[in-house]
Amino acid sequence: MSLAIARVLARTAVLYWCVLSLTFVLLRVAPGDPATFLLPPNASAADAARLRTSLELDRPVAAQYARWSVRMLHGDLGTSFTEGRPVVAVIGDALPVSLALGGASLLLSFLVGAAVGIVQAARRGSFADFSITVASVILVASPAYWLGLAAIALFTYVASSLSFPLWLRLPAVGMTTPGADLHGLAHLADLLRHSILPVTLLAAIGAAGVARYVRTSALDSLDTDWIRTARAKGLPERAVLGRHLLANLRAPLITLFALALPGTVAGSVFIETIFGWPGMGRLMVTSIVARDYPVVLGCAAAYGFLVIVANLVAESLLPWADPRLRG
Amino acid sequence: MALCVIVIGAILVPMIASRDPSRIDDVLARRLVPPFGRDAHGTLHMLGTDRFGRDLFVRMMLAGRLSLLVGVVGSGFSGVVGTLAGALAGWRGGVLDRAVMGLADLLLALPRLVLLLVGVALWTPGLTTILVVLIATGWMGIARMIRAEVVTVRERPFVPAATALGASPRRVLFRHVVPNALGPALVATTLGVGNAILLESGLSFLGLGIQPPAPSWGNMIAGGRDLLVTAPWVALVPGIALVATVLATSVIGDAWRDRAAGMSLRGGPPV
Repeated sequence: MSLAIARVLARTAVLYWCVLSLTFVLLRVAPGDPATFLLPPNASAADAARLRTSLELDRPVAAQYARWSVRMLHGDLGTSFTEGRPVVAVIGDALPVSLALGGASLLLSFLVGAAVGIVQAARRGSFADFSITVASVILVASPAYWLGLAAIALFTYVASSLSFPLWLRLPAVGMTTPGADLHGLAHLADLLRHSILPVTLLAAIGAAGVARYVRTSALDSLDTDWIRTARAKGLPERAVLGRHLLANLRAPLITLFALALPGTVAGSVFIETIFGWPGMGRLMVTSIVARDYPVVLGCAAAYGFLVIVANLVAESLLPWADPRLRG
Repeated sequence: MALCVIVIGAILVPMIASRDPSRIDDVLARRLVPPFGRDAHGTLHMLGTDRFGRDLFVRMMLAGRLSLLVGVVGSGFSGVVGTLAGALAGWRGGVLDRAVMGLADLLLALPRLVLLLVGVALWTPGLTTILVVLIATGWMGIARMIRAEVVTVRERPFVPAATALGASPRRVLFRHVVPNALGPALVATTLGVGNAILLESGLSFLGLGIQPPAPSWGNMIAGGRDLLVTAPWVALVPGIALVATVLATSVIGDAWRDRAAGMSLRGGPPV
């Protein structure tokens, strides 16, 4: 048992090391001198020369790789030159925001999506089923940032011209109201109010995808013997759907959830940019525009780490969720 | 059906437009006209104008040319690269197989959007960069599919039969094995077109894709972003064509997949 775990961990570690090395390779494959990538634009020639010798850019690639590996193993991802702080610190500030946004919206999307999908399967062919399918397909085909802009237009422009009540005019930008020095519960309430639009949007798009998947799976399961038995036993339909159908869906849904998390955190780039949330996605975009390459590559490394952790978690949760896979 | 309309629209509308959609003249008379409105010169603008007075409908169709090109070429070439890589890996096996699949796993370990962002960061943003990065990040799924199919088809009796008749291994691979394995890959490529269009527009929206003044649905939406409160149609109208196109490709891809699944269950095309 522990040998299997050790092998999985070893394989994961190797994969992650390769992902990190990819950032090393990309920097040297890109056109231009790596030193120009790693220095601020206003650096002098002397700075450039000094960086070149410290990075051993004149030495063979193997020596550079050895040097870089040592720095990586010490957790040194470089220094951001727009902020002057270590890249690890900059990412450490942004990551929790993205994880919170992504995690909350993913959870909501799975809860809502699973419920909607089961309802659709139960009422297959009805108008409700049809209209939900149309809505889901449109949501999935729409770019997230466009929906975000539409939502903002709705809650600001339309809200003021149609005079929505004040509580319905949702804030469009930022995590908290700027300038308001709130603490404790008031701060939390402010935060929640600012998160309504972004979280709902992300959740709606996610729920559309989940609902389509659940609908198909549920329709497949509804014909099986054990569902027929449950109905023959006289169970009310709600119990049949809620207990038995849902239990069968639990395993794939949990796996999907774990696997979807890195994708949602990555995809939140657009939502964070539109709503001005200081998360990883926006960090990546602003550092690309500012040509802050240590941060860009550090973000890529962080995302790789997320994906690998998510896959590990999904693999280990599977036996728990589906007893048939145990032992 | 809808896709045909959009494609035809993208090609024809800018050609028959009475004025050059990129020309900026008499800005004050024409700017920010709402949809179905007439500007000061009396010209009807079906979907309104932007801040420079450029008609949004014609510009949207012009952007369609570029976006459709990126989507089709990006997804198509990923399909080709993926098919070649997967076929060779599945056919030869051994070190080549492990190397190709290892590379695919490595690239799959990062979210595709992140790979795209890193790609445009290190190279200059533009049409070529987008195409190259889209292809470089899109071949993996298809490669895995083709490889799995090739490995199965490799064992079928017609393979040694063809070899016994004197066909070289390469001929067997490309004339017999691959066509049997292509089904799912073609479906994936079709669905990939919509995805590629969404990704390209996303990058253009962030300013990292197709650069203005060349119109792309993404950068048109970005251009309207600060006008959202006064003239929301500038940002919202280009999205309509985008959504319609992606929707059309998804529907086609899904229908094809359902048909293919039905065929494989029944054991072949309807007799």
